Amino acid sequence: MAEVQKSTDSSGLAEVVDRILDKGIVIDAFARVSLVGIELVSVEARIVIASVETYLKYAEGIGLTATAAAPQA
Amino acid sequence: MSDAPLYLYGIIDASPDAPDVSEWTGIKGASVRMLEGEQVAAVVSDAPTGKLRPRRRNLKAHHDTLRSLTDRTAVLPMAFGVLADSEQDVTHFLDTHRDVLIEQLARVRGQAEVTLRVRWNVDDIFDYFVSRYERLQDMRDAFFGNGASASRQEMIQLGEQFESLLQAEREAHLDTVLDHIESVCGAIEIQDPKNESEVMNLACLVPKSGQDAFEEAVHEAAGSFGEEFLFKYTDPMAPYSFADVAFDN
Repeated sequence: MAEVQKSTDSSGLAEVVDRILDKGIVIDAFARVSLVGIELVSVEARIVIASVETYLKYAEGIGLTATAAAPQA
Repeated sequence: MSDAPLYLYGIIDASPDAPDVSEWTGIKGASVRMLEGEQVAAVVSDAPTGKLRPRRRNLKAHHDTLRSLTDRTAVLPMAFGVLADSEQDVTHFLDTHRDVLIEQLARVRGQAEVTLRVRWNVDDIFDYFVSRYERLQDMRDAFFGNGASASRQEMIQLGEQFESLLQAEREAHLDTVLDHIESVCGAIEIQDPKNESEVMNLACLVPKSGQDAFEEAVHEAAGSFGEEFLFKYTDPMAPYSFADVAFDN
């Protein structure tokens, strides 16, 4: 069976930071504080968008499993 | 009415039963208060002077205020960092959008959002997939074997193959999990996995009275997965993913 964890209060915030920033109501006419410095959250989320860059990254990851495996000769 | 800028936390019903927020503190220790319009109210505090940054303690103040509201009433959470120039702007917003706000409040009433993420709990996701799919292993050996370096075309081909296997596994696992939890959720938003090790990233709208049933269903779902998976869910929180409304004025 898969392990099940309930995130505690301290670890919980990290789990939901994308919700707090990317979801919820925004009002165009009102100001919104600059989110500079935490773009990482969104950048990470964009990884899933299939693209040549992504494919190359995946292929590299798979290539590394070859060097990790015992050499054949 | 004052002209000072305000920080907004969320929208609630304006009613005699509205929670008493007078003792609460929000962003940078500012006192939280309610700004009432007709039928709907905004929960606000004075905006901090100086720059407000998305630091952990500020995010936490926003999140905690909304969680306290969610425990007590129906709330439409604002995204972090929304500021209004004045009380007038806020009450004008409430008046202009009253109908939509009432409708959205009804949608989340009695419910809270729980985040459920499932991950592959393995050291190396690529290694895990290579060991499961002979096709990937063959491609890898053909492209990288004997110290060869793969061409760009081969790299793209291999990456695409991995991607399609990853998506197929995700879809199958998602179906399994949804089968277990759909009946205990008011709504489920399927969000993009954060990285290649994440199987699924779900925002679940769960009845406040049904948290136990939800947790039970998550454990049941986990029971049909192997040890290489990790299920992680959060405490009930404000329904950010179900108040995903952009107002253009």
